[in-house]
Amino acid sequence: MKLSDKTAIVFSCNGLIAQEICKKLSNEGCKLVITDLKKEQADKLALELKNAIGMGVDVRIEKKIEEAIDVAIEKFSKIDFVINCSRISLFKETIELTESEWDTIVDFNAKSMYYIAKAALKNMMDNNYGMILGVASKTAISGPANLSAYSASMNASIGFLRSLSCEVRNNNIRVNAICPGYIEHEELELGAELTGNEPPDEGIYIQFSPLINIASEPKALANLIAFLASKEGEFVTGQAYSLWEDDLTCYRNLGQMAEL
Amino acid sequence: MRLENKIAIVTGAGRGIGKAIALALAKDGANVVVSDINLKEANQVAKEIETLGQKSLAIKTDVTNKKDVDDLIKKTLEKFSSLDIMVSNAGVSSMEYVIDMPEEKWDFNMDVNLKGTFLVTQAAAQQMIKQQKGKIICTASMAGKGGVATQAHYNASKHGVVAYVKSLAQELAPYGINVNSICPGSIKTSMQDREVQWSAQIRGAGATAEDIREEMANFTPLGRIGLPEDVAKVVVFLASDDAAFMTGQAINVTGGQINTL
Repeated sequence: MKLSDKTAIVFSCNGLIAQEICKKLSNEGCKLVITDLKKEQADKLALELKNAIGMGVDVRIEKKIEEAIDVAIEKFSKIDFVINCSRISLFKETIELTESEWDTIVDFNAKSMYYIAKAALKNMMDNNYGMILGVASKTAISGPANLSAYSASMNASIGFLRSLSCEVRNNNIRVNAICPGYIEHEELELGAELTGNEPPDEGIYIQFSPLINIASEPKALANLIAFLASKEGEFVTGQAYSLWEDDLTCYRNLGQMAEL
Repeated sequence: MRLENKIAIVTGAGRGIGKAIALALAKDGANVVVSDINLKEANQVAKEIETLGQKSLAIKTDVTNKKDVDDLIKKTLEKFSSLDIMVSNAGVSSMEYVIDMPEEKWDFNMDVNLKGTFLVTQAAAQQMIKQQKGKIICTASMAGKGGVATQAHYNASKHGVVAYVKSLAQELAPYGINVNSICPGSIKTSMQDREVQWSAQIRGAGATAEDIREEMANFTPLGRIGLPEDVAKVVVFLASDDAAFMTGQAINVTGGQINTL
């Protein structure tokens, strides 16, 4: 067990990737605060895991995020890792996208990263230890059609995290991102719900996921995160990782992309 | 003259890189609508364009306001009937450590730089689709690829622009519309004047703005701070048919500076 003396908060656990991350961290002994927009979703997952508590948190509200951080500190005395899995997407042509849809997507995906990092930093700086991790998307790099607000928000998160990694390197706080290779059902569904659109049909999901082994990618991403959180990963910061490299435009390690 | 009789709009064209772009487009034959939140500065640039023998129009625009943006397109079409080139250039920056960053600073950078890009390019695309052609160029930044302390919000907004442009390029390619972004490095503008002063203050220990500027030049392999005109020349190229087969790209104009600071 690599993480038996550690505490993590995972924000927005509605998707399979977030759930695999929570399970992996828990299996490594990490204590967990698990949040979701829908409290019952967070509670359900927390019940399955050891040393985990669930909370309802809307990541668009700074105060709710601060409360979750406070609960984690109160319950487990410190925060070592914060992991932001907040992702919503909406499949729509830019020409048809409304300002309100744009705001909802960018706020949920990117502004949440700023709120979460800012709220967690104080405790991490006091402890001179921590890791902040964002779950972004391969679309941050590839920029597919009809997902422009989503792509923009995901790359905004990565840009934010890259800068933040420079700011806190002397505080022994690592800041990284991972870029899953596919769009999850759950983020499309929640995106539709929060923007007042009809739920997406199955075809869109398949269109964006033809080459990925969906059965294994969430587990592989969770393994990567466990590595980044562990002692072995303590020299890794400012990076954004993809696991799948079948196509130069789609699957790249962003750390290597920076020069292009 | 590569852009003879083309109609262009440049946002944030009252000064700095935007002004240089507006003048460079005009020198290559385009008629240019000068859009800026500061109408006085826009008027001055419009006058300069007219002295170059091209037509111009100054319009006050807040790019975060959809009504202003729609109005910009409407007035352009009323005067010139078409829109060939849209340069979404209006941008802002500030410097704050995340730990102390007020929410307003995040919103200010994200709203002008990223949402402004969405509103301006969406409105332009609606017209260009009717014409089945057009060139859209967005000013991103070296900060759209790398990261630097005290500008996490600015970096987020510019990374956003780079990714947004890639998506939009995919969507508009079937209509013959090219969409690209440029990533300027250290460029001598009023934005940079402010940034070097902030940097000197943040660093303390008697550092001056001139020290910071010298450092920037030293970090640049070509050995100097860039000029707005250096960036404008690349924009003119992207607006011209010389770049007909380029779309979805983020072009560095950095004097060779590496983007992972």
